[in-house]
Amino acid sequence: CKKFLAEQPQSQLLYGNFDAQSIESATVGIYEPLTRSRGRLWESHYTAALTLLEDYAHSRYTPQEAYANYDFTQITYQDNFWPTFYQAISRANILINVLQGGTFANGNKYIGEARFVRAICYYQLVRCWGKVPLRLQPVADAQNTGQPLAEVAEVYNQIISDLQFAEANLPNTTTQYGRATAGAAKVTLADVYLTLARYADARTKAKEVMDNKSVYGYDLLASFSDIFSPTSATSSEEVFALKFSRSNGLGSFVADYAASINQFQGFAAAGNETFGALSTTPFIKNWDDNDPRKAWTLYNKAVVNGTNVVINVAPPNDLLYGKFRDPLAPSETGAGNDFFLYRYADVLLIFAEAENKVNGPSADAYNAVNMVRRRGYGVGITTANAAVDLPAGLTQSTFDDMVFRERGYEFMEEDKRWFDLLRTGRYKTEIPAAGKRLPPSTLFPIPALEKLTNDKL
Amino acid sequence: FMQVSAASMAQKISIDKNNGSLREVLNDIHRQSGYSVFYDVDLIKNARPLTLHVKNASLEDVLKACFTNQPFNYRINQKTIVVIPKPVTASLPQAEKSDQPAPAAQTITGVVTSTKGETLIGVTVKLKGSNVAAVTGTDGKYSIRLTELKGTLVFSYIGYVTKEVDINNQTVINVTLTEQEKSLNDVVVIGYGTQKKASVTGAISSVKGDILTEAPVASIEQGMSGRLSGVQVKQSSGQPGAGISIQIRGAASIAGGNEPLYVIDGLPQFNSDVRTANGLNSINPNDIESIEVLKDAAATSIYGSRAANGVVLVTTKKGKSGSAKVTFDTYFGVQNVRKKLPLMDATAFKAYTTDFINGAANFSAAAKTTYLNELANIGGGVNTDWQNETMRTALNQSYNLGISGGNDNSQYFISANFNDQNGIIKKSDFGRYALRMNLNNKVADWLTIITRSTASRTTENGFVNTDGSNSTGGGANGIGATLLAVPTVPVRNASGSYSKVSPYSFSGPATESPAALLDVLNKTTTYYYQGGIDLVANPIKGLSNTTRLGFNYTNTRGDTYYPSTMVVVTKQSARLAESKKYGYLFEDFLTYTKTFGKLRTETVAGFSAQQDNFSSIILAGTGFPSDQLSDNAIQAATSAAIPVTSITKTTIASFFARTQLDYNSKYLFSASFRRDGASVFSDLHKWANFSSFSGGWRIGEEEFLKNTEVSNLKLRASWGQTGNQAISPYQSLYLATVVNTAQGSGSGVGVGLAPNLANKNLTWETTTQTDIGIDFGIKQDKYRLSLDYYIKDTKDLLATVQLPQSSGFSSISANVGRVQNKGVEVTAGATFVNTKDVSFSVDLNFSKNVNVVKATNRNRDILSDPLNAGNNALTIVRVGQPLFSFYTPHFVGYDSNRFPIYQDVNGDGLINASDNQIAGSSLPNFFYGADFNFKYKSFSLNMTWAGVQGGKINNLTAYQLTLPDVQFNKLSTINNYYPVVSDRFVARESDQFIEDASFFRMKNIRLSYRVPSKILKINNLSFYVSGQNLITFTKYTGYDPEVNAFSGTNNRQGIDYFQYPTAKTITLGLSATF
Repeated sequence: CKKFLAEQPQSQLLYGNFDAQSIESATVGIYEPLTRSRGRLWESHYTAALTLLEDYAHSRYTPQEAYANYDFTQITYQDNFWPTFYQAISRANILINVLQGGTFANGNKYIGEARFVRAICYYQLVRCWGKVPLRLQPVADAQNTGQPLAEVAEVYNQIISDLQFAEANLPNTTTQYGRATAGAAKVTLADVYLTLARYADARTKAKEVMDNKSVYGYDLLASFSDIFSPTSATSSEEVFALKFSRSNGLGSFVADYAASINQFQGFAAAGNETFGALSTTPFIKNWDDNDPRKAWTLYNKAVVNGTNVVINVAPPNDLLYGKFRDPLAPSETGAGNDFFLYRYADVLLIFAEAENKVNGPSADAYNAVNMVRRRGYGVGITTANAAVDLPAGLTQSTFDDMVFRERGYEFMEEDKRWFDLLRTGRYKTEIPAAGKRLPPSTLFPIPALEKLTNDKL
Repeated sequence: FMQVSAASMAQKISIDKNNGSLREVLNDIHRQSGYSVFYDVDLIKNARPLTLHVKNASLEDVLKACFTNQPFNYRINQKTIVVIPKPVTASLPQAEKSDQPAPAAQTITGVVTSTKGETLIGVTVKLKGSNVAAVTGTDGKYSIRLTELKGTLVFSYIGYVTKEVDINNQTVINVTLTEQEKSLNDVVVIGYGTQKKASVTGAISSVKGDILTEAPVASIEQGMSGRLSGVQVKQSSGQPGAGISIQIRGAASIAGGNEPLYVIDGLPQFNSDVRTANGLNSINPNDIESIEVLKDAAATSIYGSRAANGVVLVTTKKGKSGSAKVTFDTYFGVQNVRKKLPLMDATAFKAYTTDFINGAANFSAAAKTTYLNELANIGGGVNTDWQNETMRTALNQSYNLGISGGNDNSQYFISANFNDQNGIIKKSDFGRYALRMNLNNKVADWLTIITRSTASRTTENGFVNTDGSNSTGGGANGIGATLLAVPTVPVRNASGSYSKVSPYSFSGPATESPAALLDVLNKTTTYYYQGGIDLVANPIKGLSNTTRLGFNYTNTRGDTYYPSTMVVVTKQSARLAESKKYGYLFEDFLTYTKTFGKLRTETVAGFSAQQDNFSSIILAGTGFPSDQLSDNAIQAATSAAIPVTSITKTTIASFFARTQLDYNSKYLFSASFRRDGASVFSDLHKWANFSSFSGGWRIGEEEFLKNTEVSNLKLRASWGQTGNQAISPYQSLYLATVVNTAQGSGSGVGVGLAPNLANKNLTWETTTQTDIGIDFGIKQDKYRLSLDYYIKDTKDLLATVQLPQSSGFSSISANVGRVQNKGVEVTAGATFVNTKDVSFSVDLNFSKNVNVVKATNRNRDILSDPLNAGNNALTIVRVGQPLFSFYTPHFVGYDSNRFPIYQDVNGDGLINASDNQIAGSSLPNFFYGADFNFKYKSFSLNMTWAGVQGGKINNLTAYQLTLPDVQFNKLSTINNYYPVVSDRFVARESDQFIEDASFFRMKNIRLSYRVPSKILKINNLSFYVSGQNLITFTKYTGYDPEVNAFSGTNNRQGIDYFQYPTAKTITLGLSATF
């Protein structure tokens, strides 16, 4: 009778009885929440939300437009980002707990990966919500699940500690593209230092990666648009990316969310036009039309039956984003474009910004920015080019503005500008200049469900 | 008056008696033979004592021996032994009547028939106040000799109302006897046995198969609707073959399922069988002998851990000995939509849209010009009524053939059924082919084998995703697309392709053309087999052993294919989902019957083991060389999704026992016990015990009521516990679920493992139920009434406890909280007239249930997910309120701009989720039904009415169709919600859309004509015309008040979200028996 009633799952494994294969899979499982096609994270609403928070962006839809208006009471999509980050964190905590409780070959490598994912999730959380529950252990039982909010500094300290462990324990490169590496940990760390205005530390980390770029296999790709190829498995540009595959349910949703609802060929399987941009805003108006990145990233024309037609973009926008495009995606959830958290251009621009803060607009700082610009313009990366390079003799403060602007051009639709606006304080001027109201709050509210269920808040 | 049993037993009789009473001997014969024995207690008082020693004698020999030298005789009619006075006829002058006056000179003759026109054999005809009596012969004729043509003749016959006729100098008296209503001698099916209705101490509602199929129902539950007290039958949509949910005495569980346990011919169905695998659709309603609904703990407790929501026992027909009986039933029906929604036509749409654009604050002047140009230029003068484009007049047909018969040793029942129901939405239909073979075989005097088997294939074609899913603002749903499509575009473009129904640049998220969606293949095919073997052995007197083997198998194949004619949704997208489920049951139980003087006892004890196995494969892909391949060649897809397969197993092991005591047919007592072990719990909690106690007092049998008009008066009381373990397997284990991601694999597909949160403490949900009932009947139950009052307390609720999402898990199943259901059920009936030519009867039922949440996890609210991300939670579980109350902002009225205002509960100046309030629940205040049966000669008229009072519907269809935007078409009644056309206010899901769900409807009316048997050689030929849903009284503005978009989801009850509309039907039918 006892045997008759025993449960032996067949299509699921018991968690924790790891062998060499299943420990790999358990590690991959930590990343998975961040890559779900309909999980509404980077691939879709997270990017939609962060882009809409930027100065030049608007939405044609009522609730989404609330992001552009900084009215978080009118929209709750952010309530879905929260559990997704914490799901990855929870998986990391569970794996770390299991690995620390036993002896496993390469245990510290897997712990390093788990801590890396945990760090990038807390980094997103702390920038979006400020004080958040800092969970470092799995929940033990169903009754004691509350966790108080941690101070922002405490969260950052944990992020730094996790990333330092990761850089010390992760391999320099991986052939399992998308898995964390020591280089990825260092670049993330440099970015975290930048956010914390620890410029010297940021500079050191970025320089460490630049000086050893061959060790980590990094370099700028010659072509800007090739970076976003839906079919590329990886490239030297990639530092850390969320990997998507051209397959139903395993692809990115970003291409689709940004594409025209009139579904012009060449961009996506379908179109939602969830977020767009306004050409009259200063940042876009001032963007050099000769910069090929502009035409690749923003468009209002498409080729239909061989002729260029103007796309009727729904107001208030008049431009759509085209950075991520996969015309051959089998469905909305099947675009193959990877989404970069960090690519080599980040390293250069982090360095340029930090170097300028520490040493002023040095030749190294100029060179780092100019390499990104030259690649963007499609000219020789290592050859000085007066038409493309930043003008010489900039003041430290103007140079800083130029790096900020460059990051805006280079990383548009890559979830960076809103955080740049915040950490530099520029949101106070740039956002009103683009005709939007000054954000009453720059942080998302803690989700109502969390408040209802977390008795330690 | 008499005694009855229908148990089937050996026919070899052994009697060992010295100077025993005839009554005792007859009781022995009854027990050993299984034959029912009827006698008039007064009549056999005169019996002579018997001395009889026989061993393994035939029934006939024993009876002969018993009745030699007795002043009466016997007759056997259909396994019933009737004791009758020795005929006082010319041929049999009575020596016993020596005390009578001078020899009789007058003879009265006549024929006794039933109201159905059948001659009755063995009817006792007696001169009132004397011993002079006669009995009708095989032709129904009698002849009685009397001294004078005065006095009163009393005609009595088992199962019929006794009739008295004044002789009044007549020499020919023909009499028609009417059948007793709702005879107490009826036998009801109970768990692991049967019981005389008179002896039942629990609350059981019963419906016979012929009543069930009075309306042309495709599925059993439809026939139950409105007929049973305490049983709410909720149809989720009007789509043929769509799921139906049944709630017995309210809902109690938060996460454990609120559907009853179905036991089909002794095989308990796992909850998921009925919910997901279309289990009841696969059964031919014409095969049903009876359905018993067990409601209180006395009745259900024998099913232990699965019985908390009540038990529905489905018993299929079996053959009867005698010549073959062939029945043939067929009907042909026409269905039309009951109601269309009032949508804007092209003119209204253009006027509204123009107003909206002109007044829009969010559109620039340039955009307004562009938009107004588009509005003027796209579509031209087209006015498409999309509801007309997708709806149709639909035809139904059904053919059913049954053959039954057999001899004393073997009986058979064989049937074949073909049912074809077209839906009122084009391309939607339901079809069933079903075969059944039920065989009973007596292989030895002590052993009977009963086998039942049915095999069927059902197909269901639907209008894409009528489950209410909402991938593109309702537009991927067939009904949603129909309602949202703008009326200004034609069905097809000039090129022949389907037009885009969201054609404007101000249109909302692209919505698929409803016409294109009609091309989508969305088909479910179910192959179903259920078989069972009962070996019934009677090794010794009074004892029988039943060994039961049961097996069921369901294979479900879901085909979905979006062809290349799609305008918006992914073209050439295929999905093939196949699931297989098989379950088996082994059980053995002993039944022991013994009488100690006036105490009759019956005890059942046994064990049961059941296993359910489920496996599924889902394949999908997009891009095919040709639409012709449909979803039949996934390997041809240019992009195939990762296949998903799963396999689960659930087992239950049980021990059970019950004893029933009956003292002098007056005092009844019953106790039952079940111990269940379920695989789904951890080792700490695998086993649990459930017991019940009940008693009854048949006051009607007491002397002081014996000779009154009261034919039945019984008090019942019961207490007991039942459980609910309807949770998914493996929740007590730390599992790693396989997840797919491209992370770690470059551009390929990687496999990750995701840990779950195990709950080792998960245990049974326990329901304790107390029931007090009274059954009352007067004038041979011509007027009858049953009342039940119950309190059902459910504790340790299997609830989904919401966890802080920062834990990484959204919820965990746990045992927390308490819910109470209490209520009253009334059934009443009256047979006002019942003669050969005219009869009229009415049956009513009424049920009221009050549901209240008594406790939750830390008494916190439990919120359901919103329907669409970013909207309100739909429902809430809050202490002191009914389960799953609607939770939404309160609409107050309109401000000076005539914009809607919602109540700002917390006064923060904002309207958001923290301003939600409870706005009623979908649970009704009460529901009721009425059956009217009227017969005049060969015509009969039946009507079934059903109603629900109170309860709410959250009409999210109306919410979606009135949003203040120009993205889609709108309801033409939008002014009732928002009196101004403007984009300057925010419309919310609010109690403005929560409507009264009350209705009262004529479910069925049927007029039938029975061709008199004189005209035709066949036994019965009748024709009928019937109508369903012809009359409905309701204030509900949606398609139909009987709507339940998420019927399988506990916390989303009572929601209308683009549901398939309900049809009204006219049916012509024919029924013949040879």
